Amino acid sequence: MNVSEVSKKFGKCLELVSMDPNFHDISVGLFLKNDILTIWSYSKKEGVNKRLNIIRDKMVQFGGLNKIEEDFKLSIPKGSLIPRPLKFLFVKSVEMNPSLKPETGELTSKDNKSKLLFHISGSFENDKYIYRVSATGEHDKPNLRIRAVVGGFVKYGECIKNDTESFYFPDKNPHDQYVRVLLPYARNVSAVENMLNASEQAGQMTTQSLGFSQS
Amino acid sequence: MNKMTKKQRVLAALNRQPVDRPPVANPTSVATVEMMDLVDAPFPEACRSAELNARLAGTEITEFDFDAIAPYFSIIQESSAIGCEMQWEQKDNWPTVRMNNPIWKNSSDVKVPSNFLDHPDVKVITDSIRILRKEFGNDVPIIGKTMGPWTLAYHVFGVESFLLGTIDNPKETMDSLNKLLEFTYLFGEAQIDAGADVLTVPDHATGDLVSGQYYQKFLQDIHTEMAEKFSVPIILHICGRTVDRMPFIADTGLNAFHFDSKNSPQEAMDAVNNKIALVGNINNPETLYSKDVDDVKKEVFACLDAGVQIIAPECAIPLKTKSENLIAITEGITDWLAENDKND
Repeated sequence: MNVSEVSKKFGKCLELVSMDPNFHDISVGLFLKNDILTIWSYSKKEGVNKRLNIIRDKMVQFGGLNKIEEDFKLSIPKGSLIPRPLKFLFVKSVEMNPSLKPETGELTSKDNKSKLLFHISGSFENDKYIYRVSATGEHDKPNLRIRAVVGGFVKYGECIKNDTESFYFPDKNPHDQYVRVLLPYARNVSAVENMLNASEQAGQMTTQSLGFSQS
Repeated sequence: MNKMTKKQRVLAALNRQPVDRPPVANPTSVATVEMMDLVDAPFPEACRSAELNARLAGTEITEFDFDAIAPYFSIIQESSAIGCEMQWEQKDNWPTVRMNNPIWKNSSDVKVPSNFLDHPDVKVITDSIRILRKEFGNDVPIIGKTMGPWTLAYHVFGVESFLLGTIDNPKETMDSLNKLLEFTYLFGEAQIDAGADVLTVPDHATGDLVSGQYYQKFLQDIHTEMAEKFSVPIILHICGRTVDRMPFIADTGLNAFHFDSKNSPQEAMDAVNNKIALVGNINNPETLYSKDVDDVKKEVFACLDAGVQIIAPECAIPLKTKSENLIAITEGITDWLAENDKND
């Protein structure tokens, strides 16, 4: 399929991973058309179709999306089309160890800036499914870290801040899988920003990247 | 107006003559990781093998229907042949020269290696041009690229050392530039012999580092001489904010200037005062890399409204550029023509 056909058939490219570490460093894109997601690569390497379906299956397992009976494709449950978490989910699905299984049980994650352990629990409160962040462990001001995590979900999950310790998704519905995907990023925004900036700079030819500028 | 071939269209635009539709042609590079996969020609191998290089360069026509092919993707081929320390990187990053470890100290060190044109990293480009000429025939223009002496000076002397020299000993700087110019001519002529119809000369006297007066003092005469000596149209490329030197560039006699999005299309057109064609200036790091098709088209419209002669990304496009945004450049031209009631 050529470039124009891909664009017409699969729609807009939401995210592009330049090198798949699990399959010959091929580029892999996530496309969206009419609420159908397609995982696609221009590579013609042997086994690429199988690999694209593996990535598709990872997005189903880790993101709660729906597998449909067509190669490389997924459908999005109502309300789950939230681009930023989808992008994180896609990148994670490409880059993760293929044998990795999704975690189950309580939504927790260690803080990488303190000895705290974050806990996230959700419940419906007045038509909104509110996620509350709490923490256990030693820290002088755990509320500061909790507030930072909520800020991380606002930034990377397109979530809406409910108060300093809670948030909800734009469609007001539960999205536990997205929370699990995003929590490692939400707990450390500055490091994630550095990582994202580095990723954006890679492959750019600018006066800075060439070393032809003062900055 | 009768339909032109791609070559007629690009050459006419470079000479500021009427065209059947404004051409889209990036004089630097449209290599992307997606196209590397499509034709199985990844970086850095596609910078070092003529066959892979030609395969990747050809996607500019076969996939995006642009009006020209530019097979020299980076800015380091000559410097590698000269002996600079290289970092070839991987598929999703540009090969670079390690300028913090320069190979020469002053003009007396500048010598053209006897086998310069036979060095594999130089020959890859001339051989690729031959392959492309054979494959695409004479109706598709091939844009070669040869580094100007200012860019080469950064590579061989190091940026800081070279720039300090321009203050401490301007005569020595001129001697260095004049000696480095030999590489520009040798490689440029070799590409013309191989079939290049046009040459891009990147010469990074960028707005970030030097003033317009510097351009006038050190480079204007050199570029004027290039315009006279080369037998094909020349496109000068300088990144960054350059509007202060555009009037000087416009007086060189070069055919075109490839300009950065840090200069608005209209102010650039005003600055060159119709003495030179402009090529550009779709923003790379934000628009082509991360924005949508409609944003790309808006910038195409701004260029066309201002009268920019050749529509192009402002520099080599980011390797992770999504293909749909490249298609949008050509679509933007078509939309603009329709909106302005001009025949496509």
